[in-house]
Amino acid sequence: MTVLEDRARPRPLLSGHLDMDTGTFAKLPDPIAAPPPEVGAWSRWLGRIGLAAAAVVIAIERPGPWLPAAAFAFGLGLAWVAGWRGRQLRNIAFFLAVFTSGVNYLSWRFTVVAIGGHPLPGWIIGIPLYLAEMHAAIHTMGLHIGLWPRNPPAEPEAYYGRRYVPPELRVDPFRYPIYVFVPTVDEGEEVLRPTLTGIMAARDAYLEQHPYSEITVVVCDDGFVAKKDTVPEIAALCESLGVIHVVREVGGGAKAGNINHARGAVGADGDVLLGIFDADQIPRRDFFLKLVVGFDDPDVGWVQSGQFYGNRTNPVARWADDQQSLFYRLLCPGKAAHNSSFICGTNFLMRAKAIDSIGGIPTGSITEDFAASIRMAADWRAIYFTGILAVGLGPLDLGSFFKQQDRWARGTLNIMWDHWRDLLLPAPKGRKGLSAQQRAHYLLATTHYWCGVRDLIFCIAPVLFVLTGISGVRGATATDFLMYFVPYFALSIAGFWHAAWDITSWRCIIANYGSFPVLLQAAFRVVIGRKGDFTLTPKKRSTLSPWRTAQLHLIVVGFCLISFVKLLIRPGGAAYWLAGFWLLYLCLMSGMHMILVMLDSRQGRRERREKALFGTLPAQPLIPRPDPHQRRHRRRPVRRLPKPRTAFAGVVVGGAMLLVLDTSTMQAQSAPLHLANAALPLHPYVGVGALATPYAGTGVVQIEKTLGVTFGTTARTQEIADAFDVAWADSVATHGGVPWLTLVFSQNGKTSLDSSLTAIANGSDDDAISRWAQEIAAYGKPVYLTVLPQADRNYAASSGVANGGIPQDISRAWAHIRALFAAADAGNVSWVWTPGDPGADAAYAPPASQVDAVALTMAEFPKTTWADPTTALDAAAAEHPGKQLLLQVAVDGTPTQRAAWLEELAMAVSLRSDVAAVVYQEAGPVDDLSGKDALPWALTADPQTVAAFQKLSAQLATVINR
Amino acid sequence: MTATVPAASTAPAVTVIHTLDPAELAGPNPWQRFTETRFGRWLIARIALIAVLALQIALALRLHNTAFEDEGLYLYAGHHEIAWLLHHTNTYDNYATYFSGAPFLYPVLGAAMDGLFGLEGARALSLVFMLGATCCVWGVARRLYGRPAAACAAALFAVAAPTLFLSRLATYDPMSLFLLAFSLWIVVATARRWALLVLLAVPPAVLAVGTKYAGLLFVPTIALVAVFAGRYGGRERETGEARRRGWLAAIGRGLLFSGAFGGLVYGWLKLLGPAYVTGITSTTTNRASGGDSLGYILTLAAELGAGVAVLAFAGVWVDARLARSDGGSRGEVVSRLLLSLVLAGTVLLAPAYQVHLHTATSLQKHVGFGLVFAAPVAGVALAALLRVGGRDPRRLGAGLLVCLGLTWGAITQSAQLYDGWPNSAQMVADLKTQIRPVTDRILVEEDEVPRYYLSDLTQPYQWYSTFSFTYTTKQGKVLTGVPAYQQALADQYFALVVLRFGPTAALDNEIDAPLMAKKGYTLIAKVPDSDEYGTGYYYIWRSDNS
Repeated sequence: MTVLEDRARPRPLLSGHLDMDTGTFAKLPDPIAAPPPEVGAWSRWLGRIGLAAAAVVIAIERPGPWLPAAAFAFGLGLAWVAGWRGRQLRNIAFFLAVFTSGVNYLSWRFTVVAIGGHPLPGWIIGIPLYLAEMHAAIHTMGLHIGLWPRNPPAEPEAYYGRRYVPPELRVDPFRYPIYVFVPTVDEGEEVLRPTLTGIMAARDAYLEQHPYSEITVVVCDDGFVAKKDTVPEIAALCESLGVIHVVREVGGGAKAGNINHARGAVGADGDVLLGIFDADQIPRRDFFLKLVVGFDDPDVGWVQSGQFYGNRTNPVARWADDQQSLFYRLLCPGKAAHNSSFICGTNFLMRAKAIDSIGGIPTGSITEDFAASIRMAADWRAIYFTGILAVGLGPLDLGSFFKQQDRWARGTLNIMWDHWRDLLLPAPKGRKGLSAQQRAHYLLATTHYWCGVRDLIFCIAPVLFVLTGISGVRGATATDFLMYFVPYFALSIAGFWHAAWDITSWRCIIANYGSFPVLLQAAFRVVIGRKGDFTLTPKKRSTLSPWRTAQLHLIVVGFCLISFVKLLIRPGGAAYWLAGFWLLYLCLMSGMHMILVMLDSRQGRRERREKALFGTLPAQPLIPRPDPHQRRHRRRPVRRLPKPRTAFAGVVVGGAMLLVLDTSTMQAQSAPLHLANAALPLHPYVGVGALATPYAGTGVVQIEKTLGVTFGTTARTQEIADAFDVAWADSVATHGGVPWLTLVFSQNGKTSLDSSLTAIANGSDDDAISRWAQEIAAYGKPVYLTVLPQADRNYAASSGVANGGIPQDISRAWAHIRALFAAADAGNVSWVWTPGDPGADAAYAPPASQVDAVALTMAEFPKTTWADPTTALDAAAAEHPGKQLLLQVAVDGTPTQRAAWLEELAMAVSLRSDVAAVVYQEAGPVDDLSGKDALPWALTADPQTVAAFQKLSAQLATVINR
Repeated sequence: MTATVPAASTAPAVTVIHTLDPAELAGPNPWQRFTETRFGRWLIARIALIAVLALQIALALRLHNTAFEDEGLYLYAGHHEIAWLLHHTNTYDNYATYFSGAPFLYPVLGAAMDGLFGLEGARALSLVFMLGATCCVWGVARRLYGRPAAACAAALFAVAAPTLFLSRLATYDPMSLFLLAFSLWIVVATARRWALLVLLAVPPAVLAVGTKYAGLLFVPTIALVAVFAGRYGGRERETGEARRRGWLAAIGRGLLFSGAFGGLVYGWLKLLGPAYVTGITSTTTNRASGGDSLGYILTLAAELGAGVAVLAFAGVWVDARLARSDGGSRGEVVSRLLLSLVLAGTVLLAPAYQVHLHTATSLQKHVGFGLVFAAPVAGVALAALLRVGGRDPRRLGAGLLVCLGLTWGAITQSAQLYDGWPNSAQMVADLKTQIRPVTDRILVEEDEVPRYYLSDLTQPYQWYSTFSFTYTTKQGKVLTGVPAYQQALADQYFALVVLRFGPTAALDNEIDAPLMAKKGYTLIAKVPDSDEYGTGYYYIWRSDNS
C-alpha cells in the first residue's frame, strides 16, 4: 500500500533528488517484462554469508531483546525509506525481528539445556526438548524467509518464480498439445462428473481463444486393479462427455503408475504438456488460459496452482482448508519466488520433457509429486500461480483428514530418507545440483512433519516436570526467560498472525496440532522403515465415531489436569508456574481440537438424519474461501454525533454512576477503625517466655499442663526478618490474655549495620518495620511490643552504648519505629520499654509520652547476689511513674533458693497495683533452649520451683490492679 | 485395456457449478480509510520517526546505575535553588561560580522532576529532551534533504552512544542539546520565509547556552546554517517554487541571528552579575587544561562518533553529486556544498576543542552535540545507500548492516559509559545506617552522590570531599590540603570517612594512615564497586568517638 503525504509543502529546500516528499515513487519495472538488474553470484553469496555471519555473531554475543527491537525498528524505517509499503514492509520488519530473536533464543537456550539431575538425568528430556524447540524456531524462521518481499508483490493473481526471458528465447506456449489426466479408483460418477465437466469447460474456453491448440482429457481408471465396481459407470460417463477412458489391468505404482500407464496408452510423450487433476478437483474455466502462459520460458518444467476446498460447510473440510490456505497462499508463493516450489499432485501443468528427463513420474514414493519435483528442480524452473483455478472436496470427516495427513507425512518424511543426498551433499560430478535456496526450502518441507514428534515432546515436558521434577532446563532465571524467550515467542506469534491475516485462521494451527498423534505414528513407521501403502482420501463419511481419533488428546488433557492439581496443592517456584502456563496452553490447544471433534460428530449426526429423511445428502455448492486480495469491504455508514438530548441524558446517567461507584464517597460513610492497645489488666498476667531468638513458644502448652496454670500471656522474641505469628497471638488472646512480643534487629542472631540505632532512625529498616506494623494492625487485638531491648547495654543488637551508638540515638530510633506503626494504624500496640536497668535509665529512655509500659528484666545467676524484687520494682516505678510494669524473670540456683526468690517476687508484686505481667524466661539468658545450659533455668526443672510458681500464680490472681 | 477416443467436437457444452459470489465493487479497507484521513496521513508520514523514537526509548531505558556525580550535584543544587526561590533558605554555596551552566535553569527544572518522581523522573525529563532533539534532527533533515534522509538521520542520531547516554543522564546536556537542535530547526524551518523570522531561533539558542555554557561552541554553526539555508527565500507567486535569495541577503540573515544572539547574551550577563562571568570563564572559556593525550582523546571521539561522522562526510559528497545532477547553478551547488560541509564539520568541533584543552572530560556528552548537526547529512548518505524507492533487498541489507552495526556499537558503548561510575547503592545504604543529622561530619570522596541521596537526613555543611579542605586546629592554625586532612583525621574531626581510592587516590593514600592504623577509626564496611576501570572498594570508617 502506498500511502504518502499529498501536500506539497514542506519540500526539501535542496530540491530535486528525492521524490518522496513530492508524490509517488517511480514505478518499478515489471520483473517479467524487463530484464532484472545484473546481480552477480558473488552478491547473492555475500548476502547469504552475511546472514549466516550475523546469526553466528548473535549466537555468540547473545545481545538480548534489544537487537530484535532494533532490527524491527530499523527494518520498518529503512525498508520504508527504500520504498516498501504495507504488508511487505511489515514482513521485512518481522523477518528481521524473528530471525534475530530466534537465533538469540536458541543460542541462550542451548546454554541452559539440562544434562545432569535427579532422579533421572535431565538430558532425557532436555535434549529432545531443545531439538523440538529448534525445529519450531527454524520452521518459524523458514516461514518468514518465504515471506521476504518478492516481485511481483501479493496480488490476486500472480506468477511466482516467473522470470524475464529475452524475446529471442521465448517460445509460443499455446502450440503445445495438452494431455489432461484424471486418475480415479473408486470415486464413482457422482464425484467425477463435476470434475470432468469442469475440465471440458476449461478446455472449451482455452480452445475458443487458441483454436489451433489441442487438449486431450484422459480418465485413468484403476478401479479394475482395485477390484471396484465403478468402472462401467465411469466408462459411460466418459463416453457421454467425450473423454478418453483408460482402464489398467495390471497394477503397481499406485497413482503414479496409473498415470504413467495412461500416458503410454495415449502417447503423451515429446513436446507436450501434461495436466493432472485429482478426481474431486474441479477446474475453473480459465485454468488452461492462465497456466499455459507460464510455459513461454523453455526452462519452465511445471506450473502449479493451489488446491482449495469448496465444501467449507463441512467443519472438517473447513478446518483442513484453512490449513491448506496456509500452505498454498503463504508458503507456496514464497518457495516459488526462490524457484523452490514443488508439484502438489493436482491442479498443475507439467512439461512432458521435464518428467521424462527423470524417467517418468516416480512410483517408489507415496508422494510421487514431491519426489519428482526434487529430482527435476535442478534442471527445470517452477512457477506457482496464486489465483484460485480449481476447487475440490476437502476431507469429509476427521478419519479422512487424518488419513490424508498420515499419507502426506509418510510420503514427505520418506523423501527426506530417500533424497538426503540430493538435499545435503554436493551434486555428483557432471550433474547439476539443487541451488542453496532449493535445498533450504525442500529441507524445510521434508522436515515439517516431524512436528508430530515435536508436539508430543512439548506435551510431555511440562507434565514430567510438574509430576516428577525432572526438568529439561537448568539454570534459567525468570529474567532470562523475559530477556530471551518472551521476545522470541511474542514476535513469532505476532509475525505469524500478521502473515496469516486474512489468509487463514487460528483453525490451521489447531488442525496442525490436532494431527500430532497421526504424524507421530507416521514418523514412527518411517523410522522403522515401513513405507506403507498409497491410501486415497475417502470421499464418504466413515461410520466410526470421531471421538476415537481423540484418544491421545484426552490422555494429554488428563495428564495436564493431574499436573494442575499437583501445582495447586504444592505450588513451587516461578519455574512451576511457567510449566503451569504451558499446561494451560496445551489444555487450550487440545480443548480447541475437541471442538472440531464435537463439530464433526454433530455433522455426522446431521448427515445421517438427512440421509434418513431424503435418502441422499442434498447437493452443496462448492465455494472456496475468498481470495484475501479480493476481499470486499462494505463502507460503514457514517456515525453521527448523538442528538443533544441523548448526549445530555448520557452525561447525567454516566455522572450518576460515577458518583455511585466512587469509592471515596463510600469510605466517607464508614467510620475509621480505631484499634485499642492493652489496658492494665485487673490481675497481673502470668506466663512464660524466652530471651532466646527465635523462640516459638512451642512448649507452652506442656508447661501449662505441668503447672496446672492457664497463662495470661506468653512472651516471644522474634527477629525483624520474621513474620508476625497470628496463630500464636490468637492462642494467647483466646484466654483473654495479651501476647508480648520482643522485636530485635538482628539477623540469624547476628548484628549488622542495619541493626544500629542510627540505621533504624534513618529509615534503613523501614520496609521490614512497616511490614510488621501492617501485620500487627491486621491482627487487631492488643499486643505488648518491646523494641530496642536492653538498648542501654553493650550486648544489645541495637545498642546506645556500643557499635557507634550513643544514648541519644535510642529516642530517635524509638520515635521512628512508633511513627511507622502509627502510619500503619497499629493502635493495638502497647509500647514496652525494656532497658537493662529501668531504675536508672534516664539517659537512655525515650520520652515518657512514647512509652506505655516498662519491663523489668531479672535473670539471677548462681553464686551471685540476687536482686531484691521489691527494690527493683520500686526503682523502676519511681523512674517511670504511671506506667504499667512487666516483669521477665529467670533464676538458676538450688531449688530452695529459686522457690524462695519466687515467693519474694510474689510478695513484691502483691504489694503493687501496676504490674501487668510476670513472665518466667524458660532458659534465662541462654540462647540454646534445648541445650544443657538451659536446663537449670527451666521452670519445671525441680518440683519446688514448680510449686513456688503455682503459688505465685495463685497469689497474683488475688492482686487487684488500680 | 479399453480405450475410447470420441471426437472433441462432439463434447456437450457444460457449465461449472462452483463460482464465487457475484462481484461487488471492492471498497477500501478500514486501514486504507484511516490512511485517507488527515491524521492518518500525518501519522503514516512519520511512522519511521515513531519507530525510531520507540527504539530510542527502549535502548535508553535499559541503562541502569545510581546517580552520577554531576547528577547528584546538579539535582542537589536545584533543590536548594528552589528552596531559596520559595523560602530564601540559605544554599550554603554559590553555585554560579563553578557550575558550567546557569544554576537557576536546568538544576531547578531537574530538581522539580526529582522532587516529584525521584531520580528516574529527572532522567525521564532528559529522555524527553533527547527525544525532542531526535524530532528536531528529523525536522531539519526533512526540510533540507527530504523525508528518506530524515528517517535515516533520525535513526543514526537516536541510536548513537552519546544520545543514548544523554537520554539517561539528568544533567544540563540534554536540555541544552535540545534547545540547540530546536534553534537549528527554527533556522531551517524559517529559511523560506520572512528574514526576520530567524529571530525566533535566538531565544532557544540563548537558553541553550545559558543552560550549558559549552553550547556556545555550536552557535556559529546555526548562524552559518541561517546563511546557507537562507539562500532560498520565499516563493514565486506564479509557480510556488522556491525563490533564491542573494548571498548578501543570506549573509544578512545570518548576521541578524548572530547580532540578536550576542545582544541577548550580553544583556543577560550584565543582568546576572560577575559570579556568572566567573563561572563561564572557569568552566568553559578559560578552563584549566587537562593531561589527557591527543591519541586518547581522538580514539575516544572516534569510538563515539566516527560512524556518523564518516557517513556525514560521505553525505556531503553524495549531496554535492546530486546538486550537480540537479542542474543547479554554480552558486547553488556551492551553497549546498557549504551547508552540508558546515553541518558535517560541526561533528569535529567538540573533539577539536577538547584536544586544545587536553582533556577528555565530558567528551562523550559533547560529541552528542556535534551529532545533532552531522546526522542530517549522514542521513543523506544512508538514504543514498538504500536507493530511495528502489526496493532493492541487497541495498536494504547493506543499510541494515550499517545501522545494526552502529546500534550494536552504541548499545555496548552506552552501557560502558553508563557503567563509568561505580554503583553507589550499597555504599549509600551503609552510610545511611550510620549518619546522624546535623552533628556528624562526613568525609567522602565524590561526596555529591551520597549527599544527594541522603539529603533528607543531612545538611550541606556536614559533607566534605577529598578535592579541597581547610581545617583549623584546636590551636587555631589553619591548614589546607594533605596536612589538613591528616590533622582532621588525627583529631577524629570526621564522624565517618569514605574513601574509594578513585579520582583522588593519591591524596587518599597519603591520608589513610590513621585509618589503617585503627587510631580512632574502625572500618565498618568494605563495599565492592566496579566501573569501567575495574573492581574496587569503598572503605567506610567510623570514628570511635561517635
